Amino acid sequence: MDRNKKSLIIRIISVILSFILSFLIFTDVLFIIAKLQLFSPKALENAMNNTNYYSKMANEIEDDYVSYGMASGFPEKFFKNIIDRDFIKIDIVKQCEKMYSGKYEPLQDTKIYDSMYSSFITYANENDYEVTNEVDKNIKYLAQTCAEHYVDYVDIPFASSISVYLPKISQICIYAIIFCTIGIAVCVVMLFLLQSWKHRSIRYYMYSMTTACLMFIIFPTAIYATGKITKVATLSKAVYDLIVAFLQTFLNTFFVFAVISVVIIIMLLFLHNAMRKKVKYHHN
Amino acid sequence: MSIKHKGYDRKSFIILPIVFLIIGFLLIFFVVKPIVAPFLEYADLILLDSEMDYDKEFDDIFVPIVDIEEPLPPDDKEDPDVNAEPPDVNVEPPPTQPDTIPLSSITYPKFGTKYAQIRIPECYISTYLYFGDSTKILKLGAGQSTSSFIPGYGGTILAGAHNNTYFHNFKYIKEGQKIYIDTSYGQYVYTVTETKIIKSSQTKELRLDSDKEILVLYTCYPFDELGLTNKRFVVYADYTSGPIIDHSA
Repeated sequence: MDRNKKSLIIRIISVILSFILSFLIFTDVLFIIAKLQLFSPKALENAMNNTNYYSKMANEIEDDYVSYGMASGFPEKFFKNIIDRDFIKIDIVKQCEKMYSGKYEPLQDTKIYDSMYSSFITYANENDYEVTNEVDKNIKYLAQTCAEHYVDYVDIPFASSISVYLPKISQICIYAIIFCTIGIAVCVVMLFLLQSWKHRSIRYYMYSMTTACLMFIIFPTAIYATGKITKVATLSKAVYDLIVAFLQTFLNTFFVFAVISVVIIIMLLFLHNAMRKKVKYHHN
Repeated sequence: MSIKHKGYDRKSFIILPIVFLIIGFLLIFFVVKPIVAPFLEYADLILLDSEMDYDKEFDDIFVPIVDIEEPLPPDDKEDPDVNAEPPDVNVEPPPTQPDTIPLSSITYPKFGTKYAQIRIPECYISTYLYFGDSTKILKLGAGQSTSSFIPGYGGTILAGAHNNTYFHNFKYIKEGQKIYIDTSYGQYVYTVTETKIIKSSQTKELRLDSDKEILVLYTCYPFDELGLTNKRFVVYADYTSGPIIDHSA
């Protein structure tokens, strides 16, 4: 084959491989971040801790209980801190773990019912209310309503539908990461072997890393630019804060990888220059 | 290495990544879009046009056309005397107002808007009326069902409030008493015709399909017991006076 033609073909193949490499790097990082952030119960728990989710949720529940109190004779101050913050944290964390394990079940409201009923009866006795059978029935109904309300807040919306898919998607992420990593290794080796001057392979690696770096910046920036992250419709402020913080953490991780890729590019640049100088020296 | 070759290298560092970027995102767009499109449509259902303002107070469009006192906050509940007669209060004369008003001249309340005041002077009941009946609204006053109409519209006005606060004195209500709803576009008077105790599941008793204008107020029952019940105390009142809303204008 004509030498120039051969050189051109190698260049074309290298450019294509470089593009594929950049695409694989971006996809690999996307799946890694998804696995670490979106499909990790620990990431969700961290977001809950950082946004003070448990306490906010308890406050919202107690706020609604005050309304029940207005319909049932219990004063507002009775419901202040009636929900144990540790208790609600345990319940929420348990539900999160169930959701990610694929075996989601709604929370059983027995414990909260018993706790509320006991508090109501204690209040009635302390304030000399006569607890007749009828009143006891009404108090039980109130305790049941409070318990159901608590479960509605603590249960994660659509969790029973989502939890079926979460472990499967998480598994797919792992396979995708493995596939992309192997793909990256193959592209790197092929690019290295294709070039007669090995510093040129470093050049193609730099094209790929630069593309990937731009993708790491543009992808989250484009999502932020839509402005939709902070426009989630949810009645609960606690849930809103959690969703926004969770999504922001997911997107901001891409910027971290952008910084890492800039460092890699700089290192490759130095390597490229060093290898080129060596070639120049031998050539001379 | 020639200068031309160096220039080629530098241009390639800029041009190639940009070309790769465009092709890469186009590839993602065309390959991934059919997969994520259903999820994006679903996402549109849970996204708003603007951010939720959780600290926002409810809108207030209420400007009474007559001079009335603002309602007092509900007092601490004392032990009631259920056998006591209702207080003796003189019924107010109606203000001068038009017989009809055009619909276009009214600001129709949105959900959560404070738009009127309900008064039952003979029961010492006075509270603001909000359009909507969420738990947050019911902590502030009476909440009107959004499935019902505003005063003057010709249909059922359905509103409720808590029995331990704003409608606590429903125990004094009797047939023939007057209920006033003061709005920014007129004062409406209704005359109590009936009271009833129903179950919360008996929604037909709320008479939302009435072919004439009636006022239906409800609260939990009994009034002074601890606990929640599924019983409701309902007050029915017929329209007596107030400007009729002209739907065609």
